[in-house]
Amino acid sequence: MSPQELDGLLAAHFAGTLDVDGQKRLGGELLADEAARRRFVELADQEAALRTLKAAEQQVPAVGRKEAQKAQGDDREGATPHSARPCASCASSRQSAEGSSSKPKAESPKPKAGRSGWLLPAAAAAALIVVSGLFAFGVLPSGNVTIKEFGNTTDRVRSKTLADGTRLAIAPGAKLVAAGRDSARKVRQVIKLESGEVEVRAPKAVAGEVACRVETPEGLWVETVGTVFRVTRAWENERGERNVDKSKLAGVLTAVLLVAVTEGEVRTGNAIAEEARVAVGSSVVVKEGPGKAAAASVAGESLAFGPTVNGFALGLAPSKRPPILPVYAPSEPVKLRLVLRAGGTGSDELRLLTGGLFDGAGLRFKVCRKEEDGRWSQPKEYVLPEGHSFYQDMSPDRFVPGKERASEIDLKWLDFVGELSKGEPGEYRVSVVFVPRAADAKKSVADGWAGKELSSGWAQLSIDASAEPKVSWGQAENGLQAGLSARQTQFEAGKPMEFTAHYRNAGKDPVVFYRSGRISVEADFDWLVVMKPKAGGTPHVPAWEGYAMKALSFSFEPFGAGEQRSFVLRFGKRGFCPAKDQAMERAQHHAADRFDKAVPLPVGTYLVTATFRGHCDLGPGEKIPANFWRGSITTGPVEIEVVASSEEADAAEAGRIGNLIRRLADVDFRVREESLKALVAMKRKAVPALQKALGDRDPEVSNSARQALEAISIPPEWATFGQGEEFLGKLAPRQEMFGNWKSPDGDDVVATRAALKAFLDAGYSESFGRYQDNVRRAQQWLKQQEQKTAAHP
Amino acid sequence: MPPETGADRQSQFLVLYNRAQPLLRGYLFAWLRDFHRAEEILQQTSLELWEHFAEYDAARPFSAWALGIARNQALKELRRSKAAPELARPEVLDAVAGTYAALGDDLALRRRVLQGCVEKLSAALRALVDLYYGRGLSIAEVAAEADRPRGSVEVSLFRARQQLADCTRKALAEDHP
Repeated sequence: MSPQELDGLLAAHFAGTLDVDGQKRLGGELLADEAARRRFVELADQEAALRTLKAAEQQVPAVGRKEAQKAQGDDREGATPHSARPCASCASSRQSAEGSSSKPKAESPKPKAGRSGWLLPAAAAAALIVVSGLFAFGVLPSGNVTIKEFGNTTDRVRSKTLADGTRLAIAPGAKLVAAGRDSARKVRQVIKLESGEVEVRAPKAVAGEVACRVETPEGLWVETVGTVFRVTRAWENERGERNVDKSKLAGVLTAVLLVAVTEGEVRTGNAIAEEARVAVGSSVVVKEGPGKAAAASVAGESLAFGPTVNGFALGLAPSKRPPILPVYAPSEPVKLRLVLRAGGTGSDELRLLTGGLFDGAGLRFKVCRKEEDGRWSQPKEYVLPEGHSFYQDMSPDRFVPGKERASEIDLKWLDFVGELSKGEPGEYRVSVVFVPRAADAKKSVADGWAGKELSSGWAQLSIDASAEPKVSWGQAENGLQAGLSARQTQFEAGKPMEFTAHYRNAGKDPVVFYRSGRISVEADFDWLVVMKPKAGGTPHVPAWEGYAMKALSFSFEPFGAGEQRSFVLRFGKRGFCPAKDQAMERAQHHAADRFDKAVPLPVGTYLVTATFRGHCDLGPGEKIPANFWRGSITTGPVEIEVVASSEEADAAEAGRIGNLIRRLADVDFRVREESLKALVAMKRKAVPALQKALGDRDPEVSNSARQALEAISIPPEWATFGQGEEFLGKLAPRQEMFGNWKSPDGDDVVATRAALKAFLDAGYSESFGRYQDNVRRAQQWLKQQEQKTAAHP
Repeated sequence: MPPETGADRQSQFLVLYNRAQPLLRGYLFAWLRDFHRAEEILQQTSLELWEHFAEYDAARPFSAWALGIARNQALKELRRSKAAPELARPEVLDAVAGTYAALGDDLALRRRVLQGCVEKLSAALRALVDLYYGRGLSIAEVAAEADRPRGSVEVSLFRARQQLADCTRKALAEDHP
């Protein structure tokens, strides 16, 4: 039988159209010919793998879908719920759907193998059900749409109108496929952008439907309910150079999607999550995510800009830039990055304000909160209270077009911005509006900005109580108790530190803090921070930093029983001073300028405490109020580690490793042995140098390097950590069922730790990214191993 | 040597089963051709395998033993549904199971490179592959969606399969020259 004839029979078999005669012939061929069997097996396996692969891309769990079908009374096979679009809330609903759907089937297998015998088939069945969730398809489309491939090989923009009315202006060199309706995702027109740039004019969609979605093979996407936008598929290398032509860039490339909106609003994202909403007049770059690439895109370019007014636009973004949604702990200050950008095409310089620092009086905050039903509340507006001010370095310098200036706003410090200042848990959207005061307008000069108001886009963030670090509380005194917490417990020497101080009224009566004539106090004066070396030795106190340790919320209002407040203590920027006794520490408060010879905090482990001493500065004619709190309270200790700065540590370590590798060729056998042992003990840190040493001309060095690499138990191909997505893509499928990775010498703990670190370093976690399952399973497995070791040391 | 515990056996089974699962799925799909049905039979097969795991001789490859049980399950299902009676004879199923067991590693490698090969298909072919395999449409539904004649879709899918098979074979040859 010819290969073509065999392929024809096989195709008919898989299509279910093979007649009796064909069955006989194929059966005979499969029995007689090994090559025919191989072909059959290859094609069958390919069919199964294609189903698995493509269905997994659909990301819709089958069981959840069946439930949804039932709920909707939809009897079509595999009809898909509309929640397949990527977003954080959908992701969690998918997880819950998988979790709940696994249950009924997982309980069905029979308990034949003893007390826990049902667990195994249940686990196997559950795994199968979850996996099988990826294999169900069947979405019956509606509407007459066609798949059309368009390429523009001319040097002029080519226009096309699709059947649904979507108009495309295809730039020279661009290539795309108009794939039509995707009923599963409720998208009227899916455009797969192969290369280049296209402008999309999508007519408005009906309610609940997306008008147009442009996507790339890397999972980058932009979608709209009806608007005009321009989208370009391009590439970016590590140096940030971009080009639509991949071949014109060198280095490791990341796919990017450049989106500019000329009418309405679009949503953009990568395969993992929605990243931004882009309003009219704004642009955004979406990068292949997740991990560093996605984070970088949010960091650099996901500012939410409002409309440009008379040449200026205001952009806003949360200071935290995780790939999905920035999460703040309630005690953590919510900080916003505000960017003022001068637009226009002319060469005229512009001024936003006339002379002097911008005192913030013209800034208003609009805040929406997500309600329990998932809808956003009406915006609440917050205005700086009368008589208060804060200074933002946003003006008044002249701006040339294209120039921008950024500033950071701390909403905890600005305690008038409602829930955001108080740190109330929830999901928020915030926008900043600048309204010039009449006084500024009077002072305005000829080239001054003449608009009525300038507003940013909406920045989104979340405040989550579960993100709160543990507070170390001290003893209460006169009803008041102080605590300290740190979001980070390892600091590099010479770098600033940040802690959160908390105080609460642990008594039954209200107390009053009193400071005359001020809204704020300087923490330097009221809080004494002491860093005590854990191993003993001289304590250090932070050097005087002027107003750097500002703290708010010591108000004149009574501090009620049970009430708790917190603020951030920042210090270390100017170093620390040894404080040999309490007198010295005290001296820091009142003669801080004597401590001008501050030094970086020595490397080591410290116990940090903060002490608050109540005192009262009375103004003329003022009296000490009733219930005034007096005393001194100290927080519980927080243990931190100060490590050498990364630059110093890296240099020192590189030098040490280099020396050890050189000593592998030492004439003295014992030196060689010791060096080898030391290199093995350094584990992964020594791997790059050892790999390099594999090619050393001295066989003694190369052999020892090989021996060390083997002893470190990291398979050679795993030794290239930080190589990016491609490497992680190879690593993930090698994870064993129980979450571990196999090591050649059987030490799976080392291999699993190393693999887990690679994922964590790349920005994945147990709750984020496409490898979240790998990370979670690895963590569980390592935890189990630790428990086993603890039980049988 | 300490006596083997129930937990050890479970662990051992799950590891072996997990490795053999793609092979078993492919084998069942080869005969049943319907993916949902193949998944159901795979689930039954997993339970059969567990119940008879005590009979498994660890000196033999697990996949060969598991394929034997999958073969019985497939045969039972084919007889019940009276599908392809002239093709689905026990000796043919045996012979194909033998080839599956022999090609296990190659098939695993092919599965790994398949994604890359799909990306190399032309955009139009990829779109059809998405509709047929991803959304699980029938040929007729794909033809309606793509506004193309049914025959043309069949030919295109046939070409896509051929190109994918060539691509994966090439990758395999590069990996094992």
